[in-house]
Amino acid sequence: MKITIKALCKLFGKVKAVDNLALEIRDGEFVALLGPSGCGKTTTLLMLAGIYKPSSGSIRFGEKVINHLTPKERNIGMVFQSYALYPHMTTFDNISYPLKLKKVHKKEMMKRVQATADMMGIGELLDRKPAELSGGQQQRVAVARALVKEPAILLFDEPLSNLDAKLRLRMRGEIKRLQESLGVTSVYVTHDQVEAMTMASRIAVMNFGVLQTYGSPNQLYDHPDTVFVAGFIGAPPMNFLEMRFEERDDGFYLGSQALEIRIPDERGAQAKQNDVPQRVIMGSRPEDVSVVAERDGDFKAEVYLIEPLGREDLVTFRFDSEEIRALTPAPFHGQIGETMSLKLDKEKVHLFNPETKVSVLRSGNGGSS
Amino acid sequence: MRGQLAPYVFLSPTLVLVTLFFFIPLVMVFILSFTNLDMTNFGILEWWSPANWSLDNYIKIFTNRFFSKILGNTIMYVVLTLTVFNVGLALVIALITTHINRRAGFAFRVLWFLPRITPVVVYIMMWKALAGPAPMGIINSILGPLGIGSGKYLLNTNPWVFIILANGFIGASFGMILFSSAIEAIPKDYLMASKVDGATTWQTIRYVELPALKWPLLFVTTYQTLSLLTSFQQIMLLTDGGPGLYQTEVWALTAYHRALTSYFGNTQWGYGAAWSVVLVIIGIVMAVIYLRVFKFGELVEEPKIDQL
Repeated sequence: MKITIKALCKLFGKVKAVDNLALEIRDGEFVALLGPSGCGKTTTLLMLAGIYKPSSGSIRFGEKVINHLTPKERNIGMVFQSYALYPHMTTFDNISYPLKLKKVHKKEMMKRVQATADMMGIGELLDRKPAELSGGQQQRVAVARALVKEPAILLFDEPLSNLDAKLRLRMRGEIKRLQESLGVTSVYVTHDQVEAMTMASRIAVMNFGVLQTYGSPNQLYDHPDTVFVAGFIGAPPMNFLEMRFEERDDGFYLGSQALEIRIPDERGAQAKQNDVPQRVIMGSRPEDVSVVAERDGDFKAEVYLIEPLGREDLVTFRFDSEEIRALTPAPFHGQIGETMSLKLDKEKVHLFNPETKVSVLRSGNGGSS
Repeated sequence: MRGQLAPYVFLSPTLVLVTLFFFIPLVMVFILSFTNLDMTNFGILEWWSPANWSLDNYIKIFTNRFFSKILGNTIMYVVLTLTVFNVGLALVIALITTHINRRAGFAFRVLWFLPRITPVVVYIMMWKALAGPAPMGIINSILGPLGIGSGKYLLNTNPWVFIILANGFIGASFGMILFSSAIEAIPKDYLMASKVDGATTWQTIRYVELPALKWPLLFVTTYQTLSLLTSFQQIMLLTDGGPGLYQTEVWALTAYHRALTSYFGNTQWGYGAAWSVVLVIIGIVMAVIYLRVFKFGELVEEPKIDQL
């Protein structure tokens, strides 16, 4: 089922929880709503579920505006962060609840509950109560309950937050596979960018109720539209440095007291076309910063902190009261306090307008919707 | 040593009070119920001596010609007030006031709570003013011009209606407070999940909210049964067991009448005590039955998580 959201607003008193949201979710797509807590992502999900009524704007399932339909009339399944399994009901009663409400025939109900439970690997636990299940099992029951009525749309509200790290990784894969095999249009709310990146085909990043950007994980990673998105997506987060933008006869340069780099002509030209201001925010991901021999370096910095991550080491450097972090192959050969030469990958330098916080590398009006 | 003593030092004021004003009187009432102590032999009868104990009072109770009338009155009073008001209406008010605007619901509950904090004599005077004969009684002065009713004193024509209403209005506020706080304590996720699963408001109440109220329901039912069994002030002030002979006399009122009023020229403390003791036993039996019916053991059972 295709979902089309237009100019959607939700006000709580004077607080705008969701501000003029526009989003289109294709049939069968898995979309993540990503953002820090309080950004309006859960409010948006609850409007899709029909728990909240939109203050203005429209939500369409397919071609039909469903703003004022009750949850019952929307044919949706939802998985909650707390799982929200009814504590007095057994697993069977929990999963069969949506069918009981639909007055599905008893025989048919037994069959569908068993099939869904088997698919989720909880077929043996049907007579247990939620208190007798582990967190992972409860999660599966919650997903089974959402799936059993064969909904047109699945909604997930941070379903993995309450699981331990190992189980979360496993359920992440299971939910993704399940969604792909069933092809149900899914909206997945999370504040965990790794979850969003790994699971979703497209990610809508929200902040303060406003949609920041909407695109595929790679698009958001390689071409972030705003400083917020650039900083939010990717771990460890992107480095930001304030720089001067200069056009000279032989090309485009970024400069500050400590360093001066020449950026590729096409990037510079694009920035110029987008009315780049004198001062810009330059962004560079830690994996695009490398430690090099002195003659190849763009600038020098002092080792401040070394954080081994196993496969790589995350090293924080300091120069001119600025900080920059680099992902270097482990083991890192350097001492704290040692001065080293660093080089930035100019092909992957991002430039943002410090006033609007918007990227000046966007081509045309692409990217954000 | 000092550390071991401290708990008892802190407990002692309450222990002394409870012993003096609860345990000792309880034992005394129990002993008194086997004697024929009354106003005439007070100071003469050695009521503490087992030689003066007998089961006569209990035989008197069960052979009393009004025994079945009093028992029937008590059962009717307790069952009707409990089911219709103290539990039934309390639940309805709690459900309605928690499903409407929060502030309106709260305001309504505050209003409904007022009779409970009104002195009982004032409260009963208001009911008497309602029930008064035409032209003074409020109900009669409204119904009279419409041609309904005979204009007689309503406490004489329909005493039970007024007894149950007067008790029920107060009684319902207790359950109302407990039920509404229990309903508001239900995690909102359950209610949202139920709606998303396709339930109407009524179905959500029926399948998700009511089961979550099992514990407060047990508590209110048990507590209010015991409370109604022993309550007699409202009835005493409204009808004092009348208007006919034993027409609205309940068990607790009988115990009071026998023990502490001089209806027949004396106050039969021993006989009254026997009525009270039987009432206490009825109360205990009822409480045990409730705990069995509601499967109290299961309500407090430990979870059985065996794997993570």
